[in-house]
Amino acid sequence: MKRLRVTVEGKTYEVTVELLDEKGNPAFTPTASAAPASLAASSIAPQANTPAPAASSEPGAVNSPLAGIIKSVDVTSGQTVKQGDQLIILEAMKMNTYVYSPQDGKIGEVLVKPGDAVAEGQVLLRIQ
Amino acid sequence: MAIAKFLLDQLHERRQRAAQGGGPDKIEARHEKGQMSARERLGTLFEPSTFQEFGMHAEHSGQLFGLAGKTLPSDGVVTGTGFVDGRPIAAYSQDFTVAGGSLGNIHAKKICDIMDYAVHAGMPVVGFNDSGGARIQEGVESLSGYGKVFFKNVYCSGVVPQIAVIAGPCAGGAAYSPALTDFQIMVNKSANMFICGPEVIKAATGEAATMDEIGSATAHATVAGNIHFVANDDAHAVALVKKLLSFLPSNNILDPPHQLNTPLVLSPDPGMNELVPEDPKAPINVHVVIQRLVDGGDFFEVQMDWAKNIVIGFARIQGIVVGIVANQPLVRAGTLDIDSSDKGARFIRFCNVFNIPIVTLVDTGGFFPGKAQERGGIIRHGAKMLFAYASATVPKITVIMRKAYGGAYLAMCSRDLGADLVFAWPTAEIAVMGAEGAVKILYRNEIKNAADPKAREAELSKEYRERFASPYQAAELAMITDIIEPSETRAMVGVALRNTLSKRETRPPKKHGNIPL
Repeated sequence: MKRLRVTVEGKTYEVTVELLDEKGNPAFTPTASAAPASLAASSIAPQANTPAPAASSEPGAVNSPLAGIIKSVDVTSGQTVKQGDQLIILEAMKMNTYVYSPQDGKIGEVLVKPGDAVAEGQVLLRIQ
Repeated sequence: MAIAKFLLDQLHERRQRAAQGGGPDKIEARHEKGQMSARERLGTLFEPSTFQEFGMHAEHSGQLFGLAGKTLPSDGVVTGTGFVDGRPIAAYSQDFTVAGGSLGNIHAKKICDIMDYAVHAGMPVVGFNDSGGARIQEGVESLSGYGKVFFKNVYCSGVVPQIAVIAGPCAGGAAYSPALTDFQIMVNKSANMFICGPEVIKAATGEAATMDEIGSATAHATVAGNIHFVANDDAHAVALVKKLLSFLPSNNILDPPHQLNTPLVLSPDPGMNELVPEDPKAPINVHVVIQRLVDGGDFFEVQMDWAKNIVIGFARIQGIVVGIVANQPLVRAGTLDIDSSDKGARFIRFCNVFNIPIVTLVDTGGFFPGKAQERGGIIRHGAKMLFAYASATVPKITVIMRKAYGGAYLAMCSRDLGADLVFAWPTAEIAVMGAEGAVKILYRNEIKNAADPKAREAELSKEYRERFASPYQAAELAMITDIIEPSETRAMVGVALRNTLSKRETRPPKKHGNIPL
């Protein structure tokens, strides 16, 4: 059943429409196919997991997520940063990859400069 | 005249005893740990009163090591069918309160029987795994039981969808039954899964390993890529099963539950244009693109924590159920590597076998370069993507958003691999390789002999980019259906999905292809 509002020459009619099959019986409507309303998208999102950092990585070190060329270093030694601040842009495979601060802290040693080629996992800078 | 009362009393008493599993105390202990009982899991999955049990009065057949005369209600596994959103689903649920959910002869037979029924009736199978492992008292009969279950898993594979919930321990050979199903959902904290546990590893090789490192839901979801979803608890696991089923057909001869009464909206979505940055090197978060593309922003992501440079999952676009495969430029520059190829290929094959159209969103600079990739077998793994796409006969619709370079362009369902429609945004860069690399090869001598080699190289790169880093060369060669504004994507893909609903493509008969595994 579907309710429709139809306007004919300025006059509005409200009509109820029902789909019928060839024999005049109500046509099958696949109710089973509807996603159940009780399952709101947000309530059943799978749980996101972040892996614990590899045991070998030294505390405070920010490692390169992939091999590439340093495009810009956006922080200087001694600067205070918050978790999520952009630290470095590196370019690899024709795309920029942004490196964000994993924690609040103060920038210690910066080990790379623009133009440097870095390997995956290489320490880019340290945060105290 | 009526049936003798004692017969009914006897039945009710037996039913009650079986329903209690290992007894109220053991069930209470589970509740205290925040876990459901085997029957409660099925009760939460199925619509009320729709559960039809198979083999409630089954008993173990063991005669040795103190088993004779002992009762194990339902032999430690509850099996049957019930309705989920109005569709029949088969399920089994191992009962940890009965002999630790251990698998014996009859226990295995019950699981096999329900799978046989499901494959004949054409209904999905959901299994709750919660078992200490083989029932050692039953000896090799128990081992044989596992073998029979594995065989049934494979027999059902590609006929009915199979979903495994790992809700408790799942150790040794037992882990291979879930591994043979289509999707694995693991309950965080209460479940663990491994082939050799920490003690066995220590004894065999001396290597130290913790359960968290090798068997936890986090390890499987983020590092190993063995499972597809992590649930917070049993109720969440059941909700994930239901959500997953809402996208799947009951079997391989039915269509997935499309919502065909959804009106087709053909007006543009200007917001999509705004998502595309001017700088071709600034990455787009492909999740945001997917959210805008799918109905109600409802994207059910699969394996969200592993090989994140590729994003896969289910959604509906203008009512049609689709599997989405998309490069994620935010992670490893959206490149294809060993893990992302494995992840993508398996998903593509699932969609194909269950009639789910595939929408591919392309933004990849290529296959990830490196020693670890080459030595790890990227050729063999990357080939899975090519194989999976080329062998898929479901509707295949590709949207080249930006970068589509080299072999990775082909591996993301190009026209040549059988895409039915390929749309490209004006930002698309379809080329055999990047400009810098290409001019170095094409103009080696010219650059070397130039007065200012650097300047000449830059100039040539620019020329190359203008000529090839666009969708127009590919469009001239009719490798593309159409070049569209990003804002037109939802409308165009929506129309394409309607048009290809009855797509039919037959291939030469064969047992199966030989995918490079």
